[in-house]
Amino acid sequence: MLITLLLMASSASGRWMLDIGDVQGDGWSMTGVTLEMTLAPGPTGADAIRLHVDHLHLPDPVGSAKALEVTCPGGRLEPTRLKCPAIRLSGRHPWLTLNQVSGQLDLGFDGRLELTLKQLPLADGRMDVSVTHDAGQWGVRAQGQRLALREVRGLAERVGVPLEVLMPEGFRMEGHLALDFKGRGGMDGIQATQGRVVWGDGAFAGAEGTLAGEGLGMSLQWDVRQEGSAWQGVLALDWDEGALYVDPVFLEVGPEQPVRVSTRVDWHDGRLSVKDLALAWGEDLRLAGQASLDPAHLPGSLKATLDVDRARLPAVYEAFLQPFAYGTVLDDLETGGLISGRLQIREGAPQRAALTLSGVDADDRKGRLGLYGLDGRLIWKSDGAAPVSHVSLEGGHLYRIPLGMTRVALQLEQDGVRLTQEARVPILDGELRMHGLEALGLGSDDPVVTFEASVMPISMERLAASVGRPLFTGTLAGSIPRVRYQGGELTVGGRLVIQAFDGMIRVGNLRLREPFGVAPVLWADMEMDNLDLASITNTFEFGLIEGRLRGHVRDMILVNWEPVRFDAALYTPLDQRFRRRISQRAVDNLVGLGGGVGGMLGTGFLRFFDSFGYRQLGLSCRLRGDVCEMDGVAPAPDGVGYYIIQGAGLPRVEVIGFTRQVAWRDLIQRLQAAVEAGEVSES
Amino acid sequence: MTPIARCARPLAWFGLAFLLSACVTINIYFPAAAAEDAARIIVRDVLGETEQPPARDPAEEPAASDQGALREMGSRVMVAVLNGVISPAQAQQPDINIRSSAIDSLRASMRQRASGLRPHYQSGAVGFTSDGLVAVRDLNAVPLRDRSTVQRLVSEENADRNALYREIARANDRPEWESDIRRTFARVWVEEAPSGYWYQDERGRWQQK
Repeated sequence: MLITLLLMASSASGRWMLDIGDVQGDGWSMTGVTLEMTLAPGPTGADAIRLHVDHLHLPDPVGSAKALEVTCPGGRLEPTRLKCPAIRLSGRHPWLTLNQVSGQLDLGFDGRLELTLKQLPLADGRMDVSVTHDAGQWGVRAQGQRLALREVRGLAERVGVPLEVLMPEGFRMEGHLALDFKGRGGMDGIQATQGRVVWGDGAFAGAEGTLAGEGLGMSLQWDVRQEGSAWQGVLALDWDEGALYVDPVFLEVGPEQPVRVSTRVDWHDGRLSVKDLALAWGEDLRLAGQASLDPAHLPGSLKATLDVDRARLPAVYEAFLQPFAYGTVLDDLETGGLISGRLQIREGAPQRAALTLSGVDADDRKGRLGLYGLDGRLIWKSDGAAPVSHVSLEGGHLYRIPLGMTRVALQLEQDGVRLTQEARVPILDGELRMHGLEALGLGSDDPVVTFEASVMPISMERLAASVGRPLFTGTLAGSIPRVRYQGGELTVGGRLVIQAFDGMIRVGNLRLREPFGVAPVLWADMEMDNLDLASITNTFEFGLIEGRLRGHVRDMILVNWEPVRFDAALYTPLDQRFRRRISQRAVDNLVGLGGGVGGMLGTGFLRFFDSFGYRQLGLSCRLRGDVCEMDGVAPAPDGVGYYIIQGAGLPRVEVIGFTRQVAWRDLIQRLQAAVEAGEVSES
Repeated sequence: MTPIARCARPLAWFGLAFLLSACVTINIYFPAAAAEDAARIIVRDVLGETEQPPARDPAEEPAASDQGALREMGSRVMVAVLNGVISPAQAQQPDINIRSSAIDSLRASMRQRASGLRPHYQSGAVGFTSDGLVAVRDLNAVPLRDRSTVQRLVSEENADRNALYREIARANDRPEWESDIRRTFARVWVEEAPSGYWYQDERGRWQQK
């Protein structure tokens, strides 16, 4: 330390003036220092002391101050110390406003210091700072109120702390901070710190809008100290109000459902350990965990265990799962139940995961899928050697087709899942048996699911009723080999056989695109043979027709379960022997279906006949978009029209259509009208 | 115009020049004007800012009146179904068909979503892209709680729009028209958008109408 002293004294007046000149210490210096003292007589009198420093230079981040003036009215200069119960501090500083700041000073000439500055203006707020120093140990306490965060950025820049890392371009932060910081240390730096910072009216936003917060009220408490070469302590974050958006998750928190995070931290030999991590979001989500990592070697050095002790649906689904499910069948679910789980990470990669479902319900609001009473435990291991997982389902539905209680045993592999034994899904009075189900590449962009299945007879009547389609009698059964789902498309290798109306309907070349998408597309070919017309017309209350029906629907495309294209023909074959009679009402309905006006038979003498004989009858429709290209069973004699009913015997009734182009929806309306009329007349 | 080139299978000893001259180009006419009219009907219907009610299939009304006339014709022993009863509309206008149940349900779904998207079109948060879709332009213009919803609306709207272009092509039995239909729509969405809406020009830059 180099001190140049020039003493000018006027002892007569009790007024002293010390021109101290320049003072330099380790990392700090003062130039142009003068001390002026007016000493009061007697030991109890108050002295007036005034210190002037032209230029004070302190280590960063405080920096330089100019024209610093400290007055100490009523202070006392004692042989070993200077005691000022009320100091006033003024001066010029790049980012501290030093304008008549009040405080206290107790300076021992052995180096002991107690300095308090009150209501120091900082970042639009006020801060009380006290500094103590004694025998190489120092302590700092800073208590600030309403420090404006938008000023902090500029402040940090002036202080020389680069915030670009924490706050990239376009990032803004708002709100007020209340700070209570305590720190202590020695000559080689800080040794312990504790305190609390409260962020009120908080808001922040990134330039992209994918990260933002509003109306935030949060507080962070810490208590960290150095133990030898290690740092240890506790951190606690309480988030009591406000909304946060971390793309695509939006979370709003209120005092009744706060977020609390607490953890112990340990920093030792370049390795950070996080212990007793606990996170709670009200009663809906509880996490616990621990981790250790070397920040210089991420992610390979990460070792962690995360326990989801409790995740309650629907809160957790709506907040955290739903935003990730948009565009899938799981994006609009009504959920309930509990989920828990555990994830273990070793060397930066997931090594083992377990998920437990308890009474989970998931019901699609769009009515596509429902799963009720899901229970089970799923276990995954990175080496693929996980024990078998079991999941059970009390019930559910797929497009409103009810599914019964099902149990499946699954083997979770590294990147896929496999059924270990046949799964039996009861459907109405029948059953779907799935074997060899395998899903591969689930983590990739192109997952593939394959399985084989067989359908044990299901009543078509109940199946049709459950999906709100026209009634149908018969059973659905068959084997479904080589089902494959890849790239959004489901293909079926074999043929489904529906035994209905005493005949057979075979469905082949079945292909389904985006089954849960906005407009699912289904391709199929159907062949019908030997269907009993009497039972069909009875079922649909169309008016009795006796005979046998043959037909096909080829190149059928349904979009959103409505047909947009097919080549269909339904007719009574000429080469089979069976009774051919048609009732008056059925003639009326076929006329209506062909586009004519029914009821014509009821006005002439034909009204006395209940039914008529026929040679053949039938209709064909070649649907393209909304237009059906109609045809019948044979060309009419005039060469223009076509027979819908070709009569036989006497009285002979023939129905000839002339219209070739029919709007499909007109045809459907007419069919509905015919069926509804039947229902009315029966009741 | 969609050129489809069919080349004779090249034989190894034929030179490149001959190969090129042996190409046969078949041009299939894309009914651009009709497609534009059709697109306009759908776009106005979806955006919901049309002065006149959305165009109906002209076939519906004549069909009904014809049926009424037929009713007066009385009974005949030989029952015949006469022509002219049933709508022949689409077949007589071989331009563009926008009626199928799939298209109808897509239109209904888009119409329903329009009220949710409208404030975001107006604020500039969402704009029309040059490929006939919509995209998030400025997420900061959306209140926090709606940001996730906006992204969902945008992805659902795009799924509907992609399906709509595909289904119009299918309804006309011309799957190869899909890209022409998409281009037509991309233009019409922008033309029909109220001023203040944002759209992408051909070079992908955002412009305000």
